[in-house]
Amino acid sequence: MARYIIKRILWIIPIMFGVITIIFIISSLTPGDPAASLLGATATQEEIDAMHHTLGLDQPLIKQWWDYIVGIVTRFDLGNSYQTRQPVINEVLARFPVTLILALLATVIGIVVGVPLGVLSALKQYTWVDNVVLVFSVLLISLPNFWLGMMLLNIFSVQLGWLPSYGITSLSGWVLPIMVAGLQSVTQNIRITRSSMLEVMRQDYIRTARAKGQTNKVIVTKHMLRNALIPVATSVGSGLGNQLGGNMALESVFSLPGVGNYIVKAITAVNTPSMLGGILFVALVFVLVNMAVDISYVIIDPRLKTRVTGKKMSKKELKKMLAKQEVA
Amino acid sequence: MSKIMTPAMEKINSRRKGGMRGRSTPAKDAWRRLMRNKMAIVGMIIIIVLLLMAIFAPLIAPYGYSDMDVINMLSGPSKEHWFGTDQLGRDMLSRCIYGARITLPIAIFTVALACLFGGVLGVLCAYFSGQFDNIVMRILDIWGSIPGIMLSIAVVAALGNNMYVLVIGLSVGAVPNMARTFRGAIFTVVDNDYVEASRSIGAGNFRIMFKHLLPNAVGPVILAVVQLLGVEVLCVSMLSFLGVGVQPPTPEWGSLLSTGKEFLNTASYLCIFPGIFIVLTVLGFNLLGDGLRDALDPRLK
Repeated sequence: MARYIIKRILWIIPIMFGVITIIFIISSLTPGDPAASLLGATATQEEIDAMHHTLGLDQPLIKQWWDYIVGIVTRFDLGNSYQTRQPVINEVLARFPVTLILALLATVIGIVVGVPLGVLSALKQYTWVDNVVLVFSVLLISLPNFWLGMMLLNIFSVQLGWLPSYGITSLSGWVLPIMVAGLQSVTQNIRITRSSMLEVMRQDYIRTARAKGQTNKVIVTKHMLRNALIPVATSVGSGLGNQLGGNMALESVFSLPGVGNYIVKAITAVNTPSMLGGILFVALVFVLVNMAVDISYVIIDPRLKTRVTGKKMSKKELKKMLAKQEVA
Repeated sequence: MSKIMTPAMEKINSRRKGGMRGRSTPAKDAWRRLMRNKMAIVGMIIIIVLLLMAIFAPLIAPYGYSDMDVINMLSGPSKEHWFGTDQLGRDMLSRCIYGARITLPIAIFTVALACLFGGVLGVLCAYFSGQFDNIVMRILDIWGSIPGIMLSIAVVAALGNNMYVLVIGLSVGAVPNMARTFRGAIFTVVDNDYVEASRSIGAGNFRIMFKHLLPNAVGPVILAVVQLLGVEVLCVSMLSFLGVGVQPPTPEWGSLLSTGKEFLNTASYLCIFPGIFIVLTVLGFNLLGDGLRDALDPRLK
């Protein structure tokens, strides 16, 4: 298993390489002259040429690409914002905690509320409980989170005046964004848990446990849950990754100073380095989270452990073996 | 002959009457199961109504989508304007109806493009497997490790704001998953004997892949397409809401919301109605998708 984990961690390197390259390609496709944008409208041609040189834009594209990768790997250099002239990485890092807190809290809510509801729904399949939970979850999963956010904002801030409609200066400002992000996580967990539970309930070992007279409580907690929660765990992990990347519109609606909102503002201001820098940052965090999920998957699922560590026969080996038999 | 029928015989008889025309095929079975699922039918009806609404928008909409009623600017829902009017006095109901003509085609073309590229990649991977499969899958892993929506935003922002670019950008974000779906679906049928049989009578790779393998693996693909349609409707409206993609004068649902956001405190109906259209569309695809998933699952027979 250690071999698998090391392999999975090393696999990060080509992935990051690829992700940075994709972002580089997109940024070189973006129209407009970065030097002119950085210097503003008053710059002379000489100043722009000098800036081209300092930014390395007079170099061939391959060299630019290599410098870009080296800059990111050695100095976390994501370029400078066109608006503030500050390094993008500093601005993104300053905003990351907000995005992270939102994603983590939403994930926690998703586990605490979603998983039990999913289990309940599966155990009571074909009853009204199951139907209510199902309808509720399919309705919620169809709501665009930014629209739900606007509607709740309208009800609780504008109509009722209970919560602030702007920013997170007080704790109450967090309530609505976390509620919306949390609801999304809840619905996702309900759906995954339910289908995973239904899958497990059909297994032979459940029938065996019932046949040997095991109590229902033990069957549910020990036999069903232990097995059903494995896919849920992965989905929770990838859900966390999605939350980190997917709450852009939500952050924008609630004016939360997070990375998503930073990217949104950069888009409207045609601030390419900030936008792509923000996206690259989120993508790299996403890669790390997914790696952690993959590794934890192997650790919590004993069946996978053997599949990963157990020697698999490659086609070459198989061919060799067959050839040997023929000779014998 | 006695007229007494055992329950078993009755069952057989009623099945015969109940339209068991022709042979029972997996596709027919799945269709029958789908038709028994009320939620799926509701979803299907929602989608059909929305499609009809998009096609016949000029006939249904009470006003043109850019007609301005200058006397009634920002007026709430009324008899003349069911959904109210926006800041320029344009009828919101008409704009929402015309919006279906923009959101739905973008979502449909996006999914079609993603299917084309993802499909070709996935089928080739599963068919040739081995080293080719390995390399392509690793590339797709890298491609897919940027969150789809972010990749789409970056592409659209780089290539410019118009609908064609939006379709390309969104499908770029969707290809990796689509390719995986196709690959997985083909893998389940690639070892079947009929593949060997058709090869033995001289069928080429291309013929086997697209004539024999793909039609037999179509279940999971249809399911993925329906689910992706819902996701893409959400993505289109989210991107337009963020100001990427469809720009404000065009009555796309997301961009209607983006305009309405500025009037959330004073004229909240500007946000409510376009949102309801988005929700209904996505709900339709999700209900149909859930129904399909159950119908295609052979264990739930």
